Amino acid sequence: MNKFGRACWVLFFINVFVYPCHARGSGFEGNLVFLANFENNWDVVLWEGSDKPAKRLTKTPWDEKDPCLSPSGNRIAYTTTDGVLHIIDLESGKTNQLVFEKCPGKWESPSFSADGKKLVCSYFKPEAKDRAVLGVIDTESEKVEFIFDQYCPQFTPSRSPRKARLAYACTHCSSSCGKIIQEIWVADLSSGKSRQLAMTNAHCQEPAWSPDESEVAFCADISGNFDIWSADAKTGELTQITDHDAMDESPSFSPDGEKIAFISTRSGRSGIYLKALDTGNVNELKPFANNDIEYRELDWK
Amino acid sequence: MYKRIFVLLCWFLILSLSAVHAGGAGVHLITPDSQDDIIKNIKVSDDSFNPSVDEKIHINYELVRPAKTTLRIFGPDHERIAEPLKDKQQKTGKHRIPWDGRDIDGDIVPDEAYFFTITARDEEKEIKYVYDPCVFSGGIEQDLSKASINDQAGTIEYRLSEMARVRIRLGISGGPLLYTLVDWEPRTAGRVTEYWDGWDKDHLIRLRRHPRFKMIISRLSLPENSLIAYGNKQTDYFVYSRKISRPEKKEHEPPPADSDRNVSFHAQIPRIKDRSPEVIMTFPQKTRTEDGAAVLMGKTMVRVELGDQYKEFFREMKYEICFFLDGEFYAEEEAGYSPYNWLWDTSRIEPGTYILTVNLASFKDQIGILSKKIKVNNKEVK
Repeated sequence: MNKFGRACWVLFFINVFVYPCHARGSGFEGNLVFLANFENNWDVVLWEGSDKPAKRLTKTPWDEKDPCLSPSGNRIAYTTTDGVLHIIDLESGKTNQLVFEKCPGKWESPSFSADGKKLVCSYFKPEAKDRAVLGVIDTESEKVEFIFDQYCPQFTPSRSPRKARLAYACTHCSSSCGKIIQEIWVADLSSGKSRQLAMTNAHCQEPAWSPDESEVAFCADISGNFDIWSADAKTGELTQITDHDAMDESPSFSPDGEKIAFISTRSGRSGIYLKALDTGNVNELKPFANNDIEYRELDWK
Repeated sequence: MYKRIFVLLCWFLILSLSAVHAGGAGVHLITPDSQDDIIKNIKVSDDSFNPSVDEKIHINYELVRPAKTTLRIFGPDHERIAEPLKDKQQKTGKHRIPWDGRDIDGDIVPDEAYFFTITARDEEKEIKYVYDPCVFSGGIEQDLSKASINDQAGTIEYRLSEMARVRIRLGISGGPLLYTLVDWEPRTAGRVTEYWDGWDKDHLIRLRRHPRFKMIISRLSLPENSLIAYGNKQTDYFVYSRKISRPEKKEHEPPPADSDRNVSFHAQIPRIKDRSPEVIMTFPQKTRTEDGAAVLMGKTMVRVELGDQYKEFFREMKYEICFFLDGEFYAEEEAGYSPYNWLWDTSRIEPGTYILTVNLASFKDQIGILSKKIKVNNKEVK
């Protein structure tokens, strides 16, 4: 074999063995929770650091949705496609289903408060179509409180990690504008006041706070297709985090605030990616060896 | 062998990096208002033709001065289909260029609307004159307000003032869309007749008789001098567009979204993506089928998936999934995905036979439709 042959073999070795190991292990600290499609349906998976194996937490024939880790990392809240809210206690392994007799509609997108005692969710009254409102649930007493008297439907709430602040998406306009205009709003729960974070004139979804609460990341079609953006929590100044023709969505900051994890279809299927905010490097995470498994909706604590 | 591969890869890299774009001469775009054009009186012999029976269409124009001329035919997704004339020195005067409806590979093109560009290089003035109808025409969307339905003949009739793409949606006002009868297909100007038997897409609902029946006819104007090919029963455009030979560099782009002509976003989405997607709905936990209806009971599952050929495109889009029971809104998933497994508690509805309709609606106005007959029988639930 001549030198070109040897060079080809070296490249082959790097591509097949070294790179995937690097990609699997180059990863992340903390806990990632997300959904994976194993058998034509979506289940909750917990990954406690890239040096550990990812664990499948649910195994149902229907879909789990919107998984969210508690700040201490000992509980995961999620919903199912019948609109029911569930909480897994990771220490006991038990799952508690929350049923609200007085609120029989659909619950979505839970997010824990800083002390882990409350959950804020989107709530859809029966036959209310897409007119969601935000409800706060006390996880101990299971009491429900509706927090805003705001006309626009409110989706994908995200509680800030320290203060009593909340980011959420608010639909301003849909068919009457010829496109969806959904903006990110930020509320101070202690004063009850809410304000629009930025003026994007686009479809914004899935806000996520940075650990120091200085930024709110979200996905939006500002540039024509869905990318990850970030807005300064004070000024609303926008920064584009990803710029790719594929769909990038579901952003979540790393616990140290130096990386953002997100879901992207850039490989032709829906996968988990990490972007280092200092270098701009992006790498794919592979929780399982099976490359056919697709992933959605992640949360990183 | 490795050396040869290595050298080939290097050449490929060098050629890719050193690709020289055509340039040098100034460019003058020909529009209906432009002056001193070198090309005039651009017209086609007919607006539609059947290449499958050897019909040809002729592109006529007049050169004011001699010029090196190129004529290119493009498909609906702005892909080059044919090049009947390439850098040909032509004299002053009238010219008539035939196109036989065959593409670069010699195959008859599928039924669709095509447009052409003419580039004439005036060597004296060192100006390249470009006729590109997409710059100043086409892409304007409008709903038609007048149409008539003849129930006995099973027809819908309407008039088009100019050739256009047409979409006809049929459904229930305040309820589901039940049929996309015509999905942005090209039609010539004048009176147009479409055929419809009065039923929904899945032939389960006598839609025409529904008290809240609604029809929306939308038109999207085509670029000036478009050529509509018809009669090809062998090849569907969506299959064809995947296999067509394409040059590495894209030679034509759709008009920009910020165009001051108010171009519809439908004119910017490729045809292959801008259509009603195939939706599959199954009941993985059904016990049996009675009279063509899946028998469902208790908490059961409804699985909604996109057809294989649509998954690739819809993966890049946001969409919602809406369920309707006998034409009335029942449930919705705002952030849709595929496969979607809905956990449905049927004990909340009365036992009986229903039509369950799913609308998978993208936020860019493509809606997939499927209706199925179901039988809810909760008496058997223990």
